[in-house]
Amino acid sequence: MSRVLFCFFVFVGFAFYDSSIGIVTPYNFPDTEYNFSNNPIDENKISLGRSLFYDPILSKDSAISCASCHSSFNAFAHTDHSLSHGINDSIGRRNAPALFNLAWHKSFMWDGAINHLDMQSLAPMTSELEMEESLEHILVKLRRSNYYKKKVYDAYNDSIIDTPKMLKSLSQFLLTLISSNSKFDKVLKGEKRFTDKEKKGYLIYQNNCAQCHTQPLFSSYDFETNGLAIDTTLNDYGKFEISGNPKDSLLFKIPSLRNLSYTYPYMHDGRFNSLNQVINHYDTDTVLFQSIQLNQTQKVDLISFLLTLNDSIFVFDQKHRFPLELIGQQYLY
Amino acid sequence: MLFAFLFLNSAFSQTTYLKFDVLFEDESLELNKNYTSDSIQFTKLQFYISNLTFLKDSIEVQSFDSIFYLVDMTKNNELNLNLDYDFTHLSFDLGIDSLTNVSGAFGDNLDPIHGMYWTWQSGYINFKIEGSSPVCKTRKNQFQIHLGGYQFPFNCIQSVKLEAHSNKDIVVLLNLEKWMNEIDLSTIPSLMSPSELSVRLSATLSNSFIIK
Repeated sequence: MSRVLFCFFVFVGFAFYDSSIGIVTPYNFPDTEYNFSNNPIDENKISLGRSLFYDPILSKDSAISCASCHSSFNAFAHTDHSLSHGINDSIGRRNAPALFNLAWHKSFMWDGAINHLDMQSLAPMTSELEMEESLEHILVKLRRSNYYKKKVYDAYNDSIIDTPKMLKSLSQFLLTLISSNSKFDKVLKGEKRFTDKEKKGYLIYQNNCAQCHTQPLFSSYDFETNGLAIDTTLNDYGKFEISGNPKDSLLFKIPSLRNLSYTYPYMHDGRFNSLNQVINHYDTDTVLFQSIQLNQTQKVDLISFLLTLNDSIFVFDQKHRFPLELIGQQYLY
Repeated sequence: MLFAFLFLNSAFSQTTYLKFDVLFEDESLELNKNYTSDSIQFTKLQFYISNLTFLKDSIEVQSFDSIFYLVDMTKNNELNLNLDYDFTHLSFDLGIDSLTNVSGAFGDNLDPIHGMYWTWQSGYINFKIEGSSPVCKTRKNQFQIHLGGYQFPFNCIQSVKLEAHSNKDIVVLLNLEKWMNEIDLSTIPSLMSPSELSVRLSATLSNSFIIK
């Protein structure tokens, strides 16, 4: 009997479908920060949010969509671009962050300027360096579109879209972007084994990185200094710019270590192109509360472990890609 | 006996008319009017009223905590409230509470479409006034004062308590001139993020309401 029960937990207990939430949450993840009771998950709302995410209708010149800087193939970051690109070839001030496991984030943006996932998309929509559009005009365009009238009706039994419907639908799609199928996750479940290098790397991670990049999300999503000297062409002081509190100077939101192979370049200003550069920075820097001192072999081991956090199932999930039904709907606004 | 009890306690139910208005130079403020005294013009004036509560001798008798009223000088700003009890005072908050500020997207008066939400840094704008004055050495002499902020130490929400009586229409007046005298538009023509000054100006503002 106990053997049967054991098998049951092994095969069923890894991820559970919470009917009060409506999405599958990984078994070892903590409680979500997002309050699902204010925005109950619904397939039609996810689908509407997905269309909005991929539709340049949200930008002033109908050229930029959320996916322009958050590509599914890059774990929703923007590979190869140190700073985000926006409307009229504008260059932003920060590296477009990867988007996954957002239900567990306490705040958004590198400086925590946004306090709720529902309100996050307002920032890029209205930023002069990103989509430069007004909320009023986005709604006018969406209300003109027969495609969206139907999508909104399917989701809300009411074909007229308004701000909360738009923002909450975007949240619904974003909340489905859950990354929990990396090799590391499979090792935890007993489905795969670490190599010796990965195992050594895991120990190095636990001793040196885990305090900020906490398991299983691989970030506490708190704010910390990254020990980098200020880039005087950007003069980015992070959280201080929002709080005005000198204690917050040069504090940035801690990014997750998941999906690093897909999300380079690294750091808030994308100044490092390789994990080697990042580790060398933490190896030599003394500004940090705890400096990491590793020899060459240990660095290789650490990187071997970090690469087990890549989640190709997440990155290549068809459900997260451009919705083919949008073809032919675009550019008709 | 029971009948008498009910009769004594649920005294009456009546519709009370409540209006918000703004006074400038002793008259109801007109947008886009060139005020002769110092050629000041107002193009926009909006503010949030929340947590409307009626009290009788400091005891709360009825509150309307689901109302987030957006006073907008392009509108009439009239409300009709159903009141079941006698009251002697009216209290309200000027602005939006911190819980609402961190609870995501809302519609109606809390819809960010009204321009009373900061998109680059989450939070409602509690009070917004824009216009022009020759003292402002800015483009087209424009000024923009947006007061808001829900986090310590820059939480700007203010509570206001005024004497008000049942069986009478209530007109809550903001004495804008009194508040404007506290601001030097020549040195601060624009204020658009939470700060110490926003807190100070919000506090002054909360003392500039009267019921005649």
